[in-house]
Order: sequence, then C-alpha cells, then structure tokens
Amino acid sequence: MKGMIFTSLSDLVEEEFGIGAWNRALARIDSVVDGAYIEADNYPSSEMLSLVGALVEELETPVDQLLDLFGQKLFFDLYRLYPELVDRHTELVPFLASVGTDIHEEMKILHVDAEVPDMRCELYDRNRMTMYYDSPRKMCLLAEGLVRGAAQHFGREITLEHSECMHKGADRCKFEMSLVQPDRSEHE
Amino acid sequence: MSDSDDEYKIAYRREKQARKRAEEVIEERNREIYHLRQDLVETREQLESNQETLLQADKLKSMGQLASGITHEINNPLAYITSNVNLLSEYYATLTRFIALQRLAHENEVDEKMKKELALIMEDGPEIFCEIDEGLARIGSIVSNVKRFARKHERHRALSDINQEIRSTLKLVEKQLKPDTRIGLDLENLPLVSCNLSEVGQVIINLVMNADQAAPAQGGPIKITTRTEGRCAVINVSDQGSGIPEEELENIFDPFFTTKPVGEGTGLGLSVSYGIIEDHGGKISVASELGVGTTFTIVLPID
Ligand code: HEM
Ligand SMILES: Nc1ncnc2c1ncn2[C@@H]1O[C@H](COP(=O)(O)OP(=O)(O)OP(=O)(O)O)[C@@H](O)[C@H]1O
Ligand SMILES: [Mg+2]
Repeated sequence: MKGMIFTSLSDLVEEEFGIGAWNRALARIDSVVDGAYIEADNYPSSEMLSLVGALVEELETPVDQLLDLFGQKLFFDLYRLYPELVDRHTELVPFLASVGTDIHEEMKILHVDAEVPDMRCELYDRNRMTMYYDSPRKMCLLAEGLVRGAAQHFGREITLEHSECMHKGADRCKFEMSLVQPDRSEHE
Repeated sequence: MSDSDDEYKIAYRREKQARKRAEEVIEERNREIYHLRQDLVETREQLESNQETLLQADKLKSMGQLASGITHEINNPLAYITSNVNLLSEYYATLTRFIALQRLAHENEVDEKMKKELALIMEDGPEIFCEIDEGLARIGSIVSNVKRFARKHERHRALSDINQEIRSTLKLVEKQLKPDTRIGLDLENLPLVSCNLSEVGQVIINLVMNADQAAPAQGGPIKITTRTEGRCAVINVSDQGSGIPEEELENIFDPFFTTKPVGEGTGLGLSVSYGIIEDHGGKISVASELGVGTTFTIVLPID
C-alpha cells in the first residue's frame, strides 16, 4: 500500500489527537519501519489494518467514525498530490463514476505496484448512483470516507447507504448514493 | 523533562529515520531514471536507423521498378538501331568501293568541289561508324547494368567458396589499382554459401574499385575480411580513403548517383551491388567517416 496513505493517517492523528496518541498507536503494532513512513515507499496493507485497529483502541473511537474522518482527510491529500485528475470534473456523480474506470487505472500506470480496489458504478441519473466496492483489503469504510471527502470537495451533500458489506458476508460492498439537492446543471 | 518532550523526541527520531529513507528513495529513483533514459536513447537510435533502412529499401525498390520499365523500353529501339547501323555500315563500305571505282572512270567529269566532298565522306565515314558503335556499346552496357540492379535474376546458384572467389577476383583487378594500393586479407574459414559466384565477384570488384578511387592519388590500404556470424557470412571491405559525407550516405546506392567526373563514374557500381545482394536475400550497408575511411558490410545468409 502506498506510503502516502500512511503519512496521510499520521498527519491526521498528529493534528487531531496529538503526537503522543500517534506514538502510542505505533507502539501497539509491529511496524516494518518503526512508523517512519514516507510517501514514496510501499508498506504491507496489513500494517494499515493493524494501525486502524490500534487507533480504535487508543483513541476509543468507533472504527466507522475514524475511517470516515480518515477518508475525508485522505481525499484532501490525494487532491493535493494529483489535482489534475480530480479537476477534470466539476460534478460529484460523474467524478465518482470515473474513479474506478479512470483514476485508479491511471494510478496503476503511474505506480506499477499500486493496489487499488475494484470499483464499479451504476448511474441512474445525474443524482442517483450505486457504487460497488470490491477489494481483498476490505477497506469499505475508508471508501465511504473518501466519498464524503469528494462530496465536500465538489460542494455537494449526499446520502449514502452501505446496504451490502463484505464484512457481513457479501461478495462486495454496495453503496447507494443520492444528492440531497438534485443537480440541475446542463453540462458535464 | 516533561512527557511531551519525550513524545517529541520519539517523533523526532522517527522523522529523521523517515528522512534518511526518503533520501535513499530519491537516489534509487534517480538511478532508475538514468537507466530508463539510457534505454530510451538506445531504442530511439535503433528506431531511427531501422526507419532509415526501410526508407532506403523502399526508395531503391521504386527506383528499380522505374529503371526496369525504362530499360525495357530502351532495349527494343536499341536492338534495331544496332542491327540497322551494322547493316548501314556494310552498305556504306560497298558504296564507297563503288564510288572509288566510279571516280576513276569519270575522273574528268567530276568538278573540284565534288571531289573534295567525296574525299571527306570517304575519310570521315569509318570514324563516324566507329563512334556510333562505341556509343551504342556504352548505352548497351548501362542498360544491362541497370537491368541487373532492377531485376530479380533467377540465375545459377551453387554452394560456393566465397574466400576463394575473393582471392581470384582480386587477381583480376589488381592491375587496375593505383600503384601504392595494397589489399590486406583476413579471411576466416567460411562454410559454403549458396550464391551466384560471378555476381558476388562483381560486387567485390565494385567495392574494391570504389575504395581505390577514394584513396589518395598514389593509393592506400584496403582491407577485406570475412567471418561467420550466426547463420550468415559477413564480408567487410574497408578503406582509409576520403570517406562519404553524411548527407550523401542515403544516396550512394541510388542508380546514377556519382561524385566522380563525367566519364569516370556512371554511379551504377553500388546500385548493381545492392541489387545483387538483395537478390541473394542478403544486406549491404555502409559506415563512413569523412577523412577517416569507409567500410562496406555485406551479410549473406548461409542457407
Ligand atoms: C472518492 C473516490 C475514491 C474512492 C471511493 C477510493 C477508494 C480507494 C480505497 C478504498 C483505497 C484503498 C485500497 C483498497 O481498498 O484496495 C484506494 C487506494 C488508492 N486510491 Fe482511491 N479512491 C477514490 C479516489 C481516488 C483519487 C481521486 C485518487 C487519486 C487522484 C485515488 C488514488 C488512490 C491511490 C494512489 C491508492 C493507493 C494505492 C496503493 O496503495 O497501492 N483514489 N482508493
Ligand atoms: N569507398 C568509398 N569511399 C568514398 N566514397 C565512396 C566509396 N564508395 C562509393 N563512394 C561514393 O559513392 C558514389 C557511388 O558509387 P558507385 O560505385 O555507385 O558509383 P561510381 O563509383 O561513382 O561509378 P561506377 O561505379 O558506376 O563507375 C561514388 O561516386 C562515391 O561518391
Ligand atoms: Mg563505383
């Protein structure tokens, strides 16, 4: 898994909960680099799962809340790194639909070793879509946070129902999403 | 020391470690980029040279088609001009004999002006026929050379000893070379190659003559080497002569491309050689540096 996901998490925890909290979370896990993460390296994705587990215990925060926060922060950092990929779009729904088909594909070209989830979308209209998430890393809660981060970025409010989940025995997760205020724009 | 100091100490050590690793990564990436760049440059050069060879082969092929069309058209009139001129020259001989006899018989009836004109005709005639013959022979040889460049020959092929052919060919041309020209041979054992020996000999002669002509006035060293490379026989002919300017390299195999004075070079030597080698399923190529010398390389498939 890309180092930038780890550095994004460490920035988030240090900013929101303090350096001590991050130190203690690291102390709970068996990190391959003793927590000295850099953006340009890769680390085992199992270490990300351990970190999330350690933070849930250390911060006494529910995992969905933590990952939601993290997803939003991560979207912000991804945008900082790859603004041109996000700025191709002006509307949330078409953007979300393009993540699995375009953006993650480009990530695989840019980083040969990138491990991105399989994400397929069904669009009903400009305002309603279903997203299917499938990944051996089962980080659907992070995906939820990323979607919320994206919504914030595009200035949209959405409702999101995680109606099927890999953690509850489904083959893949299903997110049913719709815009709170319908998109009435002519373009995109 | 407070708890918070300790926390920052731990974080500081971690950050330092991260920075070290980041610097290593930068170094690794730089090296990768350097090697990738190197690969790209090589690939590009390879592509450019392939592209050039392809263009060259394409150009020579269409020139070959044009040339074979033209020679075909020239051949017919050339044949009847030649036979008519031969006939005419026989007629002329008969006529001049007749005129000579007539002059004796009618010496007094012919005025002075007519006598002078007749004398001129009798004297010039043979010379004119001689020049016509030379001209026709020259046209004939150009046409047949162009044909060799242009057309696929299904001539006799036999398993042949190329080294042997090189040695005997050189005996033929040695007398025509400049006084100080010396030909060094470095001939490795070659398997027998299926080819038309007299054609391959012709190519060697062309290359050696060119090498000699590129040498200084008194001559210079020429080196011929042969070796096997995979399933191919490779022949090199190199000289230390004038070299070929880069902008001319793409033209030297064109029929009638010559830098030699009129009458000295027809510009067919290399195009004929190219045709012969292509016909054998081989490749002929050149490497040259101005003022340093030139090497022609022939690759012939052994099978
Ligand atoms: C809001 C829509 C997006 C969602 C729901 C999403 C989802 C995810 C998830 C859940 C992962 C973790 C790996 C996994 O689950 O298998 C991931 C990884 C990743 N995503 Fe996205 N993503 C989104 C947008 C983006 C954007 C906009 C970019 C870049 C411009 C991006 C680049 C990446 C990268 C670089 C990785 C890490 C690959 C690796 O670790 O090797 N994603 N994505
Ligand atoms: N070894 C060489 N060194 C320098 N220039 C060469 C050499 N071989 C060929 N050339 C150049 O290539 C041109 C074409 O050669 P080519 O043998 O086809 O014709 P030519 O020698 O000019 O005339 P021909 O062979 O018909 O008498 C030459 O005029 C010369 O400019
Ligand atoms: Mg020549």
